[in-house]
Amino acid sequence: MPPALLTTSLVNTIQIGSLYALMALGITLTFSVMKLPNFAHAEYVTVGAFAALIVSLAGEVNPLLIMLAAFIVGALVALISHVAVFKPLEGREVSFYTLILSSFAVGLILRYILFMIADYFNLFDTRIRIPLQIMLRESYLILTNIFFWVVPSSILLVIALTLLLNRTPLGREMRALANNPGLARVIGIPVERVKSYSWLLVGGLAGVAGALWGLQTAVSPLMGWAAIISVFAAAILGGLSSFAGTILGAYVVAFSENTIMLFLNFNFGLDLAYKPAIPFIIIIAVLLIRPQGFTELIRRAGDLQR
Amino acid sequence: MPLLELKNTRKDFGGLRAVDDVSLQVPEGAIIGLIGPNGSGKSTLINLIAGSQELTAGRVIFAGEDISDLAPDAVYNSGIARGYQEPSLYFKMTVLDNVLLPVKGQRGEKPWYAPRWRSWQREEAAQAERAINVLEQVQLLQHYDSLAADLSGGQMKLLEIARALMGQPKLLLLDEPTAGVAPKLAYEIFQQIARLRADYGITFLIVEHRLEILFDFVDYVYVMHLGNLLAQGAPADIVEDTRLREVYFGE
Repeated sequence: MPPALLTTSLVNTIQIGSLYALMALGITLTFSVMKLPNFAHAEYVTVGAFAALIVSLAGEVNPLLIMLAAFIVGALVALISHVAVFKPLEGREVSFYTLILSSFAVGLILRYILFMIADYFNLFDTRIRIPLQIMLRESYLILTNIFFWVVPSSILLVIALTLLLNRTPLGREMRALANNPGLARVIGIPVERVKSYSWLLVGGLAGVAGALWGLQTAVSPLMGWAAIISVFAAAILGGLSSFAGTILGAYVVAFSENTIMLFLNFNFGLDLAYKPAIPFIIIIAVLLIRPQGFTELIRRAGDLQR
Repeated sequence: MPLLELKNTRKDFGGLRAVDDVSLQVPEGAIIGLIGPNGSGKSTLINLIAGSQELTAGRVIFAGEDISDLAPDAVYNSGIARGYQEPSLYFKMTVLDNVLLPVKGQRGEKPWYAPRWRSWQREEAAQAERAINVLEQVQLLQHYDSLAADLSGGQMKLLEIARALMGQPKLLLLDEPTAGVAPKLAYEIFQQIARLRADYGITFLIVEHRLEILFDFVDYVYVMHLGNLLAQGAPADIVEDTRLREVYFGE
């Protein structure tokens, strides 16, 4: 495999892995605090991308402002889906499977609302407009300002979320809710409020991930959905409970989809069309061999948040 | 007026009547014992007061308010905290985190303040100081940074009490605070309870099997048997009561 291809694929691994991490942490958080594997998470990402796109079309807008808009819109959509769908369903004590299916339904509804919006404003295949600059041009590697927006932003947000969870009163209550929701209610934790706040955070981060995703590729109503299986693969690698495991999982999935895929393509002629199969293979392999993902390994290393 | 009053409370589980027409009163500032053999309905009675089980009939009056139909969180908010027979803690969190959890109305609990460390840091420090005082009181201070899972059974019970104190309850319901605790520590737990009553004026309703310890500390005892109140009185009188021996030892 030529070195230029290798370095480019590694850059992609870092860039896409960081975005996967940002999205997968939202899934892990929803699963542990709200006890819901939320497939509509994909659409919070897409919603954020469209919010970012629309703001960016106004003219020369600071990317930070674009991300803020994506955060707010993503957060609100997540909160609305909680208040309108998930909370009433929980109140009726429906089964776990009903909740999963309802999350699919919420995702579908959001996705096709976005199709309607994209159609009406003619937004198909548009990129979020920020001026493109080449930061590094070498024979083996080209880095643009997109890379320097996507990677540090994702990593900073992941760190911020980890600190929030481990160091703040809100994070303390979220961890309690994740560990034992029944007890939380009877020792005076305002469970409903903490849940609403968690939804705001989860949706907001997904929205920002969408904005960053839309910087590197065209915005489409299907973009979140296209990424969700890879993101779930990352979260499952993290055992759906460990933050560190989820982040590691995100980079493993991105590495498999980019570097390993290219390696197989170059050396063994494997068609690139097989790329979407990789996250499925990872999910099946993890569930067969290590259903707990990286969680136990990391706990043994003493690295898990307390 | 008593702080807590049960009026003709009844609880049926299908055909089984676990609590049958029980009326009792807990005066403010008292330590009240609730005893009886296994299956006599003591724990059910605690659950009825705490709202974790619904009454079949009767009323529960707390501080002049009817709390019979409140959910557990609403009962907690009205000023009744409880400890469990099996310690219910956040075992994967530290001792300090466990006692800080019930603290309410902090800025840092809101997502728009939480990332701004300075906006809530002083508030948190004040609460941590309160928590440290409470932990010192129950002699858990040196363990503040250990995981709750690493404590001994007796320490877990004390941590439950410390957590309840942070919520500033008026009444503390304890279900066998010395279950699974070494005898020496069991006595210490009751000494703590007596001290907490003296320092904070908290009222206690305690279910307990270790009568020899309980009788040293309670003001008044209710004896349950098969869902009914069998006897009540000061500990000295209850010890003399032959009915107590009958239900406990079948003499």
